[in-house]
Amino acid sequence: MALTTYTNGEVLTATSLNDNFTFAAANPPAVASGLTLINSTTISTAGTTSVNDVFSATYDNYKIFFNQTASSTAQTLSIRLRVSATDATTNYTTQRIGSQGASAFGGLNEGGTTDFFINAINSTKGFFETTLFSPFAAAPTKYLTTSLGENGGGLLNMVVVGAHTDSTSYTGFTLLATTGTISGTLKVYGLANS
Amino acid sequence: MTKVIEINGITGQVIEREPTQAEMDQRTKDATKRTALAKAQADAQTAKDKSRQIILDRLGITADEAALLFG
Repeated sequence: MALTTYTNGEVLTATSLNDNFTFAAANPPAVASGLTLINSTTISTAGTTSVNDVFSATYDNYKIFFNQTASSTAQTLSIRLRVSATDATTNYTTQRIGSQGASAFGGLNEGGTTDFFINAINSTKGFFETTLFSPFAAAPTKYLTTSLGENGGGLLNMVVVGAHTDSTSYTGFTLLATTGTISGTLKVYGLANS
Repeated sequence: MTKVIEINGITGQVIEREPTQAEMDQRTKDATKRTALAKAQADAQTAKDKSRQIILDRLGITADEAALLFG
């Protein structure tokens, strides 16, 4: 059904008007979104998942979402920045705070300095949301992850902030399952600059 | 060794492949680092627990009583 337009003096019928209402309802104006999906991939029993060429000059900042559906064993997840098929394996620094049951904890670089630590996982309950600030810029990349994991059968929430101190432009990242394999859905979004 | 998944963010193409020797070496290195880190953290916790117990013994109170006193 097309939108009907009218000229001066033309009779506007109820049917025509209602058709236009129907058209308008079926064709809402595009709403500008701050998030643009760059890549969505379902991964299955992967130890290492490298996502190439998702960071560019189009966006400054990015969101990465992972919804875990399986983990082959109790292990940890982490992220490394990547460019030209090579992961950066040094110069990460992270500060984390978390809780499990009634216990809270925190610490600096407790997962080491060779990657951005995310959380411990097991079973199927894990998820994380990561924000990367300016990974494509030739400047240090900032990092924030909130996540749910599992440790010793209990749920484990964690917030990790950090930076990668190299002034290198990165175009992708690697998601590392440190001991075994993981399955789940991985999505990368670009955040509109304005 | 677990498989590697590579995703091309531009085309969406997904490749599953065996890890390269360099990737296997890095994974081994990562595992060694994690083991050492976990041991260092466990050792530090053990030392802290020992120090705490020495102080509790000097004071002649239990850990529960100390928690009541110091919250």
